[in-house]
Amino acid sequence: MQRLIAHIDMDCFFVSCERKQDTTLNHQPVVVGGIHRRGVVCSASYEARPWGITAGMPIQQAKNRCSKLRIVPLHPELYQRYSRKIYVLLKYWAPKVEYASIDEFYLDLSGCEQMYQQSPQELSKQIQQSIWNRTGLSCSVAMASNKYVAKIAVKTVKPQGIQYVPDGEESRFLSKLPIARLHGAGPQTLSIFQKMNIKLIGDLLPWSLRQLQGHFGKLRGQWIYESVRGIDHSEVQEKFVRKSISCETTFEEDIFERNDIDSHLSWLCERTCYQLRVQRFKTESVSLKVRFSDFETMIRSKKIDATDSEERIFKSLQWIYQSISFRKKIRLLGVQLKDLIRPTQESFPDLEEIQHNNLHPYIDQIKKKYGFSKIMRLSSLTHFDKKEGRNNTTHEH
Amino acid sequence: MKIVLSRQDLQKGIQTILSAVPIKGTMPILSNVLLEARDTKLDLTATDLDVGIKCSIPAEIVDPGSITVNAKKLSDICRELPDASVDIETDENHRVILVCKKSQFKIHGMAKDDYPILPEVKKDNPLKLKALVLQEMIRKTIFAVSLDETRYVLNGVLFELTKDQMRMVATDGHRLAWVKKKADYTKLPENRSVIIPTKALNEVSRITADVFKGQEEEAVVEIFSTENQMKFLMGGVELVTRLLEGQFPNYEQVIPKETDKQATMSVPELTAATKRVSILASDKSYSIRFKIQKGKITISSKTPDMGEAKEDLDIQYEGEETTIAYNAKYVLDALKNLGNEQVELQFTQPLNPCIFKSKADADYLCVIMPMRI
Repeated sequence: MQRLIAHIDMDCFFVSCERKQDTTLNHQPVVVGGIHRRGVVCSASYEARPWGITAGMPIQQAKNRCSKLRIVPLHPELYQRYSRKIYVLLKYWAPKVEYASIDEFYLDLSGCEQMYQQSPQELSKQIQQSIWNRTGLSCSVAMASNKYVAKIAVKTVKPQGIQYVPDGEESRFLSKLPIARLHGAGPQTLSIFQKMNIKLIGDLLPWSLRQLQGHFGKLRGQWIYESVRGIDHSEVQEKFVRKSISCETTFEEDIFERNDIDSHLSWLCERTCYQLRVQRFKTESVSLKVRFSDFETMIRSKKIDATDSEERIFKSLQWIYQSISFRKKIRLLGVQLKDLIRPTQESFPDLEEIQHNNLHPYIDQIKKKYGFSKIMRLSSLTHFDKKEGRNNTTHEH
Repeated sequence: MKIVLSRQDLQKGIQTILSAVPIKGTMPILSNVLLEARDTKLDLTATDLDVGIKCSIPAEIVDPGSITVNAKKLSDICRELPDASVDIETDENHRVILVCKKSQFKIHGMAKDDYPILPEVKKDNPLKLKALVLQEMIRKTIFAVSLDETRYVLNGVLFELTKDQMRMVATDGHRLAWVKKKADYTKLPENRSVIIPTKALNEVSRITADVFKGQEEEAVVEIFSTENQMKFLMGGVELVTRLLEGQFPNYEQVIPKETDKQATMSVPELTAATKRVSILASDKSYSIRFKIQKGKITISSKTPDMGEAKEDLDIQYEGEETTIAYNAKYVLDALKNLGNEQVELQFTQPLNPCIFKSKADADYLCVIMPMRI
């Protein structure tokens, strides 16, 4: 059966949500992000973009570029509320909706053409309109025969645009786009393309699978071969499968002392483990991310027995930390819990950390009712005090 | 240093100590084996700083001395040499010249000075244990040790001594293996509760099997210990290990004191049925179900996309019907050490621990935590 996949991408989503709360932000250059010295732009309004302000840019740099810039701190709960609203609405339009990220969705409309009796372009317009009517937020919609092409297509028509790539036209559509639009090609691959004088996606079409594999390795070569032709068989995943829980903090001032590091690790651990328990997961893999003052970044992981205990995970983080030898100041610390499972295997209740494990449900209830920071470990307090005073930035996923 | 020895002796010596050489490490000298020639023997020593092994082999010492040389290379060379006498000589640049018939090797070695010395463990009041008993205790517990390096104290086997008993206990948090043996030492050693790392115990098992081959019945292992080191003396081979620091969890709490249901069945039958049924158990959880009814157990497994399996066994059981799920691997590990007689499953509720115990041997048991159905 011919597939029809729609990709919905909300236009400068965080800024749009903030504008719904504060209408004085309308038609102004606005960014949403960390408001302190080391914060970065998470979302920039289209009015701010002529100054070259984009997501990921340090706030300080953005300020320097545009004196009129309005800077708004992040309100994750607000964005989640709008995102859920949109998801519920989209469920009326398609039998399968994938929650790709907080502001991106895939719809599998295969076989629905008969029911709607409309062209894909008209259908896209209607979906766009229904989101606007319900939330007052604008979005761009692209339709294609697969997720990959729809994802690339939507970026070509932002904001408030509509794009449709008919079945069989994928390769022709992609071939005219600059190579930087090839979604999934990182800086390293792009720099290789540059050396090969590849400017458009279509410049890669004459390359055979074997040639690409010889140049980029077996898997990467295969991926490039299929991507430039717009081949993608992946399904729209109805069920959101959480793969990891992470939290990282950029410090207002670089840290070096072991006590400080332990305290921040303890806080990150407490934060991620709370999420882990709330979502009733256990983790089998712990990752520690360390970014030094010179921006060198290290990520080290460790496989562990399934657990949701802060004590066990903190010990694992310390174990990883001790295996990294360095003498540099630290700019950022991050913790990621991967390989999330809902274990069926029971453990002995009385072996380790019995007191802590018994306390967790009560602590979690207090956190849920009064806020995360109303009760916390003594070892995390240093982080928390300093965080309050020094405006560290924290991101959670 | 200049020595002459047989290739077989040299190879046997290297094989004995080779497993103590770390595969990769931060100290290059640890990749070497220490060779020390004195009197009428050559001592070979290797260590990874956690476990050290030392053995002696007969050699004709022309000129005593010592050197360290890459253990892996020496082992590879020795394995390929013809069966003949081997001449080993060192020069002033720490080069090792090895000659066997018409083959000659020159290997760059390092001076002994930088090689770590194996810790001294006092040699009084050793605990003397029959090699067979020690091997059995290790075999019956070591499989339950935790492989999670961050759960430090569970990475070894607890070795406890009381006035008349020796016990070994291992657990990974999901299962526990416990074995006890009657002790007949003349004086109770000072160090009565230690955690021995898995690697050391695996080596002790391997070395005792090698060294005492053909004389297992009479073989005795002498064990010496200090607060944080333990030495095993096995014939001419000595193994020194660092003990794991920390408090082993109170394992007695997890062994159920009272169970209201007991089911008895044949170990070989249960093993065979579990192996068969587990073929269709989920690859991830390896979960199988035991439906225990009056006179019968039904073992079953199911994988959604693959299929299902079930098998009935006749058992002795009079209690109410109970269905419990277990990790098939844990069940098979326990059954492997329960002999060929009858096993008794002692349990209460489907989510409570279950004891797997041999009817014929009251000195060994495994406790397994079930899985959620």
